[in-house]
Amino acid sequence: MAPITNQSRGAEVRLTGLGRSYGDNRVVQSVDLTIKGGEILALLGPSGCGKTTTLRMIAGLIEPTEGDVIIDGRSVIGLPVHKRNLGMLFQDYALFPHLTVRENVAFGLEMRGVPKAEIAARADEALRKVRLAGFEARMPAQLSGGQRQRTALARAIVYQPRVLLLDEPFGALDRKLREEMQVELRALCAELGLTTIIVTHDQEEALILADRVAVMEGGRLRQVAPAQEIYHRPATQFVADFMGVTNLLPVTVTGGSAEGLALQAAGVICLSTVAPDLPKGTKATIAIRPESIVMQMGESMPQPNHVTGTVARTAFRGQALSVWLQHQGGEIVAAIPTGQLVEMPQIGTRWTASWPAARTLVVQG
Amino acid sequence: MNDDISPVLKICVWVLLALVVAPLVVPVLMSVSDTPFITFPPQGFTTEWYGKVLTDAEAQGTFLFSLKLAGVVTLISLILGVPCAAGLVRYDLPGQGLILGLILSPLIVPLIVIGVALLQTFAMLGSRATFAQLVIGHTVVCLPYVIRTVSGSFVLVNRSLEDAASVMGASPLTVARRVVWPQVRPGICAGGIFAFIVSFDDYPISMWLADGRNFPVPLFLHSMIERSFDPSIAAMAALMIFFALLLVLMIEKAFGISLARLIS
Ligand SMILES: Nc1ncnc2c1ncn2[C@@H]1O[C@H](COP(=O)(O)OP(=O)(O)OP(=O)(O)O)[C@@H](O)[C@H]1O
Ligand SMILES: [Mg+2]
Repeated sequence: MAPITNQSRGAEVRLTGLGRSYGDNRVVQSVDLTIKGGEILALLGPSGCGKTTTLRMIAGLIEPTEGDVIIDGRSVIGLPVHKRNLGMLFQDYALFPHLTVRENVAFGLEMRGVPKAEIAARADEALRKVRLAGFEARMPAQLSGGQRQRTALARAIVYQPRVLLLDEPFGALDRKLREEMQVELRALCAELGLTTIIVTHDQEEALILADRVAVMEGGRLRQVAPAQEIYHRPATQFVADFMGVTNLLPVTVTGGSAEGLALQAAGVICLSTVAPDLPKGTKATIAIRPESIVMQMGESMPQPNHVTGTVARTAFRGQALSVWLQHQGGEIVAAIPTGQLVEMPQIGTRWTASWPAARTLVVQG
Repeated sequence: MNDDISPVLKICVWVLLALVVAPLVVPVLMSVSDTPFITFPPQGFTTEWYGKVLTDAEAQGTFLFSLKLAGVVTLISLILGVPCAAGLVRYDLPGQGLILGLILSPLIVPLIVIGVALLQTFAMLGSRATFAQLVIGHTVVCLPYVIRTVSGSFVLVNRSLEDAASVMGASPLTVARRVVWPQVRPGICAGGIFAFIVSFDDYPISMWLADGRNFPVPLFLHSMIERSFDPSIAAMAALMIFFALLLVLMIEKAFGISLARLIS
């Protein structure tokens, strides 16, 4: 077969109106997304929302039923998988069990017709990059989960693919190893300047790894934004919820002023300095992160972004203590960093929760 | 054997094994009897009968014929069976159940009936090509064995390995050669050896289709029983048993573990 030439690194990937249906079931629809050369993008969403399907359409393992995939300015629809020059990391690693670690890593180079001597050198170099020097002659069955994962990663990057695709690559690893691998992967991608698309259902992983995060729900993109922005400014209730905002209160806009937008929720008056200008009477939802809430013992004067209630229950989570405060309009949950915990909120006692206007998010829906 | 297996099950397994193996032991014992006629239990010990069978020109001829027949049948069964099994596993075809049922039906219909049916068909067609007829008849009964074992190995193929290979730049042909073949090879070899044994041991089909010049071993054995009754018949039977055993051991040796996965 004709050798595939090594392209320059970090191709741009553009998805336009991309979709896939199975019969009447539109599993992915109208996905418009541009991933810049060298960028790391996380495709985040709950189980079954179409992340894997989208990734496999980019790889060419699933044919789209609508839209286009454009890599480096050229449509790849109709271009067979093996001619797309991509790298992919599978959830189960998909290492060849009958080949050694080195032979596994060498596979992609072999397919590109790289000379034998160069293959060995480049495979070993890639294994060094993922800190697996010394394991070249092992069989995959003789590796730990983390080592298998590194082998799969070395195998995917060794031939400098145009784009690196990862499908829940850390799902099978324990927490500590996962965090270690996340940091390493991020460094490696930056070093190689690879355009990377990583599928995950873990919001923390998305934030650690990605420059930008694309949140999917029900086969559609809901929000695409830089990691910081998606964390601090979720656009919709779904995204907010998915990004770990557990306090979602339905509100009505009561008026705007120089101080910010005033809103009325059940039993609470809110003030937001980060809300878009909404006309009076608009129904919206405010979203407050548990970490943004400060708890004080005792009652408070009625004032915006303050609510007094009774501690209903608490839960110790190591780094933080979650406290559920029952107030007249409902319940609000705060996460108090354990290090700042002066007094343990006792169940049944009266406390006041407050939060800054700059952390009072207003989202759609 | 595992210790948590219940004693009842253990006993069942041993009884079953005894029932299967005991009849095979009898001709082996009789074949070394130092008497001019078959007796059981054997008296004395001699390997004379083996010598007689192995040097007999007629026996050699029929053995070579059976080897040739079984070889051709195995080859054709694999050529037809492997793509068929792969297709049945990999694609959703209309009428898949019907196709599978038809292919496996020789396992259900008595072989002797299939033999007669084939004989009548060939007679109606006016065919005189005995060897080809035997090959066709044997292939019909060997194909189910090939398809069963081969489709079993295709079911076990890890598809994500193929995806990984093609993303890394392997063409479909390379994927088949480098990724699929190593995974299905044990199943294909086992299917081939099964086909060989089934053809080599077949009596009921050959009975109808053979003629004087195309005369497989089992028919020869039967005619020997009619002609004489010395222990060389037992020696011949024992040789057939050893031959089959050798083939089974070969499978076991080469693919023991992967086969256990296939059959369980
Ligand atoms: N071959 C298929 N035929 C029919 N429906 C399918 C097929 N493959 C996937 N689906 C459906 O498409 C939807 C999206 O699947 P996909 O695998 O992309 O989800 P995902 O976001 O990767 O989920 P997870 O996080 O669980 O892996 C699911 O509802 C699934 O049932
Ligand atoms: Mg998935």
